[in-house]
Amino acid sequence: MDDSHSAAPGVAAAGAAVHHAAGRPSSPTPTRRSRSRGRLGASLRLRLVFFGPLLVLMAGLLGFPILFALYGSFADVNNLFSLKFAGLTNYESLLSRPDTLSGPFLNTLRFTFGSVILSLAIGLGAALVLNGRLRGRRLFRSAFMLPWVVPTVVTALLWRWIMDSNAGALNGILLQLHIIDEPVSWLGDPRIAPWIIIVAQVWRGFPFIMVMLLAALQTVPAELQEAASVDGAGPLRRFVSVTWPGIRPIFILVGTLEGLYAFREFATIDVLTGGGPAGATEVLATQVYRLFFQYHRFGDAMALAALMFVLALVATVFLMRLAVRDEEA
Amino acid sequence: MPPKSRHAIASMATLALVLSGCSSGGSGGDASGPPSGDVRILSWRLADPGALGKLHQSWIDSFNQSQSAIKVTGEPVPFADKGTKLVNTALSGSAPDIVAITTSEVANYANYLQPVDEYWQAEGADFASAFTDSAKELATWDGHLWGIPIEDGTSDALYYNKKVLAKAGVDIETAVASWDNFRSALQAVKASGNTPMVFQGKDAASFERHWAWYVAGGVDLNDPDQYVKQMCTPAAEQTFAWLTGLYTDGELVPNPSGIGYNELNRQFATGNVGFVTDGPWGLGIFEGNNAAIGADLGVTRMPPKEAGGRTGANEDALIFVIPKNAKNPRAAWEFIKYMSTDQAQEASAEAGGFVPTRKAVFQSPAVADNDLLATYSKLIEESGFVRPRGPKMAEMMQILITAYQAAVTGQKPVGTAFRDACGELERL
Repeated sequence: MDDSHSAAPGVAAAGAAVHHAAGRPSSPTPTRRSRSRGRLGASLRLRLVFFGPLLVLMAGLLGFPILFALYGSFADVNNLFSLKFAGLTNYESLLSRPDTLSGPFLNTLRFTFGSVILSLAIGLGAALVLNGRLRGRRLFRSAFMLPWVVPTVVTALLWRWIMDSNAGALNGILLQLHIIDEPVSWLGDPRIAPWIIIVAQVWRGFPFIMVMLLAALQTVPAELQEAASVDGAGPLRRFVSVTWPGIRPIFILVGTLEGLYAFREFATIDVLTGGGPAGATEVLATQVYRLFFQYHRFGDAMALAALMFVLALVATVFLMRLAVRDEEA
Repeated sequence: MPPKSRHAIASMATLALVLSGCSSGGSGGDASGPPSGDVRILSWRLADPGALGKLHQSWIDSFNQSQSAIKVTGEPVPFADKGTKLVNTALSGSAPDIVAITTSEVANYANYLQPVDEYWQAEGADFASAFTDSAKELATWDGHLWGIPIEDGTSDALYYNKKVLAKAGVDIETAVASWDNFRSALQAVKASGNTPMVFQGKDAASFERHWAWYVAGGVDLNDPDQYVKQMCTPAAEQTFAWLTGLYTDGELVPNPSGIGYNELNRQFATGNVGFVTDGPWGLGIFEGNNAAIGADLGVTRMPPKEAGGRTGANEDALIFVIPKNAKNPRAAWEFIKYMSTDQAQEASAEAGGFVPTRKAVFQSPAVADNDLLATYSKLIEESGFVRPRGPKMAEMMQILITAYQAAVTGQKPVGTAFRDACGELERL
């Protein structure tokens, strides 16, 4: 489709002007050129009017805190939050004890990849089911959204109650079914607790993925599916050749978003395990909190937060480029 | 001057006047005259829906009614958030005039507080001598006094369930005679089909319940400069192993790594647990979970390592402190004094079972006729030690509890977990 057909009039005019100039190597007459410039200027002004306030708001609410925090990681913040430049002191202090970082870093990777992979798998599965002919489809769609609309802390408290070693619902059920003889300390066992927090995160996160993928699935033309069926393609073949190419960009997008959410997740982990037992669920986000609010090592905390930001940024740029390349292909 | 500039200057002047009029919320009083102005107090006690919360609010109300020069406004804050709130407000220049913290936290927050030695001195010798020596020790850090402590207490007394012990045939006096006896009692309770004991080990704060065992095990925790050295002695390693063994050797306690304070209370309140350690406030919490349990409970000292040996009771109190950039410290001091009078402390003892910090209050009926309070007063008198504290205490407790959890859950052998922790402590 020609971009100028769908774009706003101002943008279309600007685009037309650019096309026009590109298509005619010889200089246009001065009158035409000034008219084009005039249109371009008007278009820019219009954009500034519409986007200006938003840009100012974003610069204030996002840009400034990010830049301030990044600067803070190079400042003497340990000295009652002095903003005097201190070079790499905070980073040197943070990295001088790598043993305190390696565990949380590996735990973060496990938590992020574990929850993203499971959320994507369950979200995709649920979206495929709800996209088909299913009785009570609308009811299921609403019901599946429930975990996502409940506040994170409430979700975490709910899971803590379910997993409580003494009065927890899970232990109660398993005891009544005689599957276990005595209550299990789910959140007190370093081999189990990391997986509990992943399950809680997946439970909360998959509805968002499901909704996004469901929307993407509904854009895949039914005619293509029917044509593939007529050509003898089975369900798997239809999914791989027709459905998947249609939803892949959204799949990458929601995977990236879910990864970012998991990477910086704090509330679920803090409420459920507080980073324990034996540091098994200590992730970078809880480590930042601990360094800042419990140990008052502000410099180390800000340096770690800055490193987390850079890591998340690199991962996001990489995945977004992947999605864009995919779309272009 | 152009009209636009005049207009701009006039607007700025007006704005400055308006802002100065509503910025501080009070003058803070003349430095030489009697204290006056607004005082804002941040207190977790005010967030307590029970009797203590009401009592602390009544102090604010009665103080405001008793005079007109100082107006106190209370701001409730959850116990767990008080430190964060103190640091945030101090760093952002909006600190309140008074903050309620615990005496063991003074060292953590000393950077944000102002010492109050001159206020104590100004009150004269009689004022200082009215307080117990241990109270003054609790309020002192780094050679300075930081506030006035009230509501002294210890969490290191042993609650026991009489019915559970009777079913197991356990005599309480024999059980608390030594660690070996205590272990035998736990085994007897286990054999009778009940849970022997609940023991906290879920988070760094849980380690506060471990200190007393280390003191009983022979570790000297009186000098903050020696904490690391003392916690790496053979006596400390033996205590670490003994406490770990409570779970690993036959599960005499449920996995402590999953037990925080709330879980501890809930489990003990079910009525099928033999022992738990807690402060005088514990009774009310157990009864809150199970109204019928109070009649079954008794409270006594914790067992010494060897028969006739020493026990420990870590002592901690509530202290009202004044942040460094408080707007009205002199008026704040006046209200702090008001909350620490004999009458106020009698009311605290009655409402929460706390040990007073003023000597005269020990003779009052509120204390003398209260059996629970008498038990705790005796414990503090005989076995009290200042709860370990220091600017790196949060990290220290995190290291120790992580090592404990690693050993309890089999992530590391006991000896390795202990030695690793010592290595980390020495690098602090």
